[in-house]
Amino acid sequence: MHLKSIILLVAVFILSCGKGKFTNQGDSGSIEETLNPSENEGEITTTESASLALGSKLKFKKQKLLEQEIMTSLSLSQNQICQELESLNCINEAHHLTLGGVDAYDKNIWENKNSFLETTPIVVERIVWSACEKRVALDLESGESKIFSKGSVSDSSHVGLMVSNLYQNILARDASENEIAAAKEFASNLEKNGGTYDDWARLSCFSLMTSVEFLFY
Amino acid sequence: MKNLLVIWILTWFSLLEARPSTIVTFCEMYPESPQCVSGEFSCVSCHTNPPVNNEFGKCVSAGSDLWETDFEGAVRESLLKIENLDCDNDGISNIEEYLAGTDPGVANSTEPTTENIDCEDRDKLSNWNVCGYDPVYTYKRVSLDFCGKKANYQDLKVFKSLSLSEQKKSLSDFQESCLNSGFWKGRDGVVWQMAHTKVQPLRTLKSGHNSGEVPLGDYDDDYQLFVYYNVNDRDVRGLLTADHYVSMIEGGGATTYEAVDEMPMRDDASGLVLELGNFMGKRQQFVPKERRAGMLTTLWNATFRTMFTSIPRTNAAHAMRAYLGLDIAKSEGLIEPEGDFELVDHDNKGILSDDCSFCHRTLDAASYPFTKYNGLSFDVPGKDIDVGNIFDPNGQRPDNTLVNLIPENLVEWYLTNSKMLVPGIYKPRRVELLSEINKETEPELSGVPEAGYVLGKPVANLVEWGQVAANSDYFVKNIVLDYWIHLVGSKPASESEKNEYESLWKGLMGEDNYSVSKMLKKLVETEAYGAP
Amino acid sequence: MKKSKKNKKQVSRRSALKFTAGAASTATALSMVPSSLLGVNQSKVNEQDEDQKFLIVLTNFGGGSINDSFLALSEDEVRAAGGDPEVINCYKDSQLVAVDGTPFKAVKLEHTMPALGNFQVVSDQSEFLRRHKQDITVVTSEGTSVNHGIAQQRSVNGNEAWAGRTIQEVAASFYGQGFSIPNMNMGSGGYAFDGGDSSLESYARGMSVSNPLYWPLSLSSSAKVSGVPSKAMMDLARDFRLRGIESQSNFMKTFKDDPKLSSWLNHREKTRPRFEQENLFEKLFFLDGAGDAATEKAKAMFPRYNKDTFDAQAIMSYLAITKGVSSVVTLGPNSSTSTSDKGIYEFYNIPIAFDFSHNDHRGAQAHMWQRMLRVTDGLIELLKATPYGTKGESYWDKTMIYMASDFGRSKTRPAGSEVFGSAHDLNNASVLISPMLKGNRVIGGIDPKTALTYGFDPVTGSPDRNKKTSEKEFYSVLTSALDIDGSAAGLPDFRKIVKK
Repeated sequence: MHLKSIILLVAVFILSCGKGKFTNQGDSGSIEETLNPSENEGEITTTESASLALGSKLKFKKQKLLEQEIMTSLSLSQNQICQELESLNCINEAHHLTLGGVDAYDKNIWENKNSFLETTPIVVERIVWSACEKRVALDLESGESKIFSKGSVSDSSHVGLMVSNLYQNILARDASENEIAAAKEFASNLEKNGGTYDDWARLSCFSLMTSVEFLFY
Repeated sequence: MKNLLVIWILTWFSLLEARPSTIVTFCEMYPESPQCVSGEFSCVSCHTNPPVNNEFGKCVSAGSDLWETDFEGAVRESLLKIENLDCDNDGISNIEEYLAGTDPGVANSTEPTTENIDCEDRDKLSNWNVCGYDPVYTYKRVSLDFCGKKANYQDLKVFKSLSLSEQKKSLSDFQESCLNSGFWKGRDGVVWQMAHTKVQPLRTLKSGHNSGEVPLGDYDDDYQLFVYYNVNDRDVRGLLTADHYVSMIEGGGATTYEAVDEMPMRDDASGLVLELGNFMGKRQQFVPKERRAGMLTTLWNATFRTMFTSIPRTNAAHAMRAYLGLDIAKSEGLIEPEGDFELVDHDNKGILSDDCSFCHRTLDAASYPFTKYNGLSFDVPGKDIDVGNIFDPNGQRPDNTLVNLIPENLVEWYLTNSKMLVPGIYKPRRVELLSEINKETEPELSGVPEAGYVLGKPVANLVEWGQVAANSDYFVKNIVLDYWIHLVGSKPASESEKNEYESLWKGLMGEDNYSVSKMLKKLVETEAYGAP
Repeated sequence: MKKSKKNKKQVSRRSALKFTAGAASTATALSMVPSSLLGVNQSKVNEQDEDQKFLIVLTNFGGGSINDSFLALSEDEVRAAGGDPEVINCYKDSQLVAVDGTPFKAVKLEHTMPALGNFQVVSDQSEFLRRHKQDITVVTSEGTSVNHGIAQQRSVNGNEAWAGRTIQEVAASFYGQGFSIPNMNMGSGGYAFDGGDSSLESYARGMSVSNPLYWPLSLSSSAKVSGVPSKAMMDLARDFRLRGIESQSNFMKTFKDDPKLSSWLNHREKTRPRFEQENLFEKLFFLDGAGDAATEKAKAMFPRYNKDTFDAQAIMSYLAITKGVSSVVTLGPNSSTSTSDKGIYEFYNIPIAFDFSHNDHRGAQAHMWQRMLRVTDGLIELLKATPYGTKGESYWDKTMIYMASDFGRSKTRPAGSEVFGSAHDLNNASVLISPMLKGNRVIGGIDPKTALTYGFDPVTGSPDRNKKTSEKEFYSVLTSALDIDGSAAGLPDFRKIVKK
């Protein structure tokens, strides 16, 4: 009889409560400070990240939810959204942890207590850009036209119509008059900088889908 | 008189568990402290890892010279002496912190504000009813949280056109349909993912679907059991009391779960599961029905957590953390066993020292009922069992394995009467057998009882352990908190949120009859969830 | 539907006692911003400060035992001390290499692992010992938990020695200001956790890096993204997003005070431009032929990077330190298996890493120590070859490596066995490697009769058989080795014991 056990043993990785794998670096900065970056001066004091965790009503659309949202808003399939280095699914392989997902089975990351990391906005921009580019290409080149139809960046009324489509598809609401006016102004600025209608379509989609109203709920 | 007073205090602060005298004394001196009223004042108020002091603990310690001779007197003297000091140097004196309910050992610990928004100003700017519950806002949230998809433009238009009472019904029906969706209850759905921290999977060690290189158990059985009791109005206490297993049927875009008395071995079972499953009658769970306690007695639990340990402390600690929300590593849940409990160092691990016994009085008492459930220990006296190459990547199976050496008609006898130990079984003689195997390192092991304690209450065995735990406040609080954090986005913070949370967990163990589905219906009606 | 009107702003008792919420939130907001964002100390990296120090934490995931590396015991030693060499985990003379001029031993072992399909382990620690003995300090220690996750945390936070701060956080706090990502953490399990001190400067917290091959893509919004328009147009779009979409929206007006939103906007509006301006992607991305000569050297040193995450981590560590991105890096294997193209006939990482010792102690320890020392050697060589500052120093002259371990392994074995399983044991020692330390010695000692280590006199540093080195004392050794004053946390000063 073999005295020794030849059965494999496993490590027990019990996560302690309240501590997650991912850091939450660099919390906050008020909206006013963000909107007026030149006014940001000051000294570093000790952090109060614990207090920031309290009283938050919003949730970030993490990994799978973000994927669903992009698919639904832009009528794209999972594979059409984004590939890193032409091979890795952006949301489920390359950046799943940065997007708030877990890696439960292979990396013992059983929960992700941080909604997002310092680099998450960058990753979101990468993914959304890719998805918007795909949608615009399908609409304007393949004639599918789910959101955008062909037009001109200097055609104000067409721009307004496209903006309405965008808001309804992406934010599920109507754009206000101010919002449409702002979008038209953007189109005009873009045109002055040599941008085409295609550029405007992609950048409008990008701007709206990387805005906080789309990403949080 | 003094004894009566102490008894009265202990009874009055019934939320407080039996505790060291410091806590009793503190709350006697400052009964109006919010931390005494809520029961939050505990070991970790003074300690990091007892007896290591945090900043407040250091302050208290420095406040008296009587510690060696009159401990309780030292507590009183010190607390009085340091009232007007500021132990964490945040500009607020200790006494002010006691009365405010903030932490006198943590600088700038902040009590959540009741509200920190100006309701009326937000109301002017927002589309939503920010001063209260907003059904449209809630509908959008429910769509994302429970169905995994957003409410589109048309859906919202229709919803907004309904009357308030119609909106409420529509919301309820909508949520109900989402609770049956694959997004919610399917494999890797919301509920399944909530089980990650309970099950703690490791694919390297998995048998069956998506198996790994060293299959020791199939944790899909655990996930299925977890989801089963969290959906479809079932009694969630089954997580710790179920005497059956759960199979999952996937197909046609739907997932259903079915209770089964025995868990048949899967066609793609491998490694240890295949080896044992062939031996045990083509099953992959081996604990007899009358000895089962839900998630506590699965094969994965045995192989992943008990492993080779004689006294499965890790198993007990994990169960307390995962299902009761009590982390012993943080000195939570250190409830003195009722009656005359004597801590014995059965396995020679040095737990009787002051530093260790502080926690081990609770931990060991909670671990004893787990000791009859075998982990990975493998011993078949009188048989030259070769389980070598059980994980041979080439799949070469040696001839002298269990199923080949022990005739089928003798399996039951071996399991019941012999000294055989194989993984995942219930064996009354387990500790006796291990004490022989480990006689040089654990000679006192055979004295380990099956009876133990959970939450201070005596239990005869693990089945009772599960029942006591599942019927406790801690259990329901933990269930609700898990869903609260997932759905609301953060722990209950303000007073109104805490009240809503309390109402939910009390309801879960009251009129909701432990139905998570019913609780969730109420949760989406809270202001915490539905007010922007 | 019940409707309740919320009250106007109510000040908590707490804030009534001290300060207004508004003032706090501004201070809070600014306190979250790393100093480099505020334009402070931006030039620190370029100065190559001569007081700068770097910390590399290598994690012996699963429990690397010192009894199977530099403090290995021979059978003769055990016998001479009155122990039973058949039962104590010790080695035959043929399995040990004595290296001249050092108290350390090197294990040299060939071993077959039956439970891994007779995988052949070939290990030889002697070359590493010869090359680096002068820089090696072994410090004995005794932990307090046999639970992997808890023990891993305690091996880097000294069991709350400094309010829960990990040694990486402390080092980054002292030496990381001005770096883009002062504290880069590629560890797993408890090694990847933050410490528990909420008063720690935010820049010192660890940045988790899950996959070093692809993670640098998250440092740039445009690198390797097709069809991205000009920067001018992107800037226009971002400006439109902030002022034309968000500032107009009811959503923003409703939730502008939400801390998550503030945090998100801070990352988006400050961190992204900073990371891109500092060319972090270009510095750290090394696939597809990217990178400079230094990157090529690192890839040549660690060629398995596409198949073995540990090699990829090592490349990332070298680049992060030498390109002025990080002052602290943590790296190490995890529980997952990795293999070469030969599949299961050539393991890189065996299942559950060092913890496979439960099944085959000798094989697991030999293979994993070999694995760890291979990467350590490569890093040291690269750092030695990379100049630092203007005084003829190299990056190695400024670096300390700490090989952290969950715990040790049990000291006994079934009589005479070579293939046996071991349990977790609190008693162990850890390896520090640095030219800044008084190397080539043991702080503490080992009892050959029992294979148990013992501690040291905290005043003289001499071995003390009656003492075990506590987690706090060991942590103090680390802070002292890094010239960090831990007196504020009540930590003893061991610099005279540890440093040159």
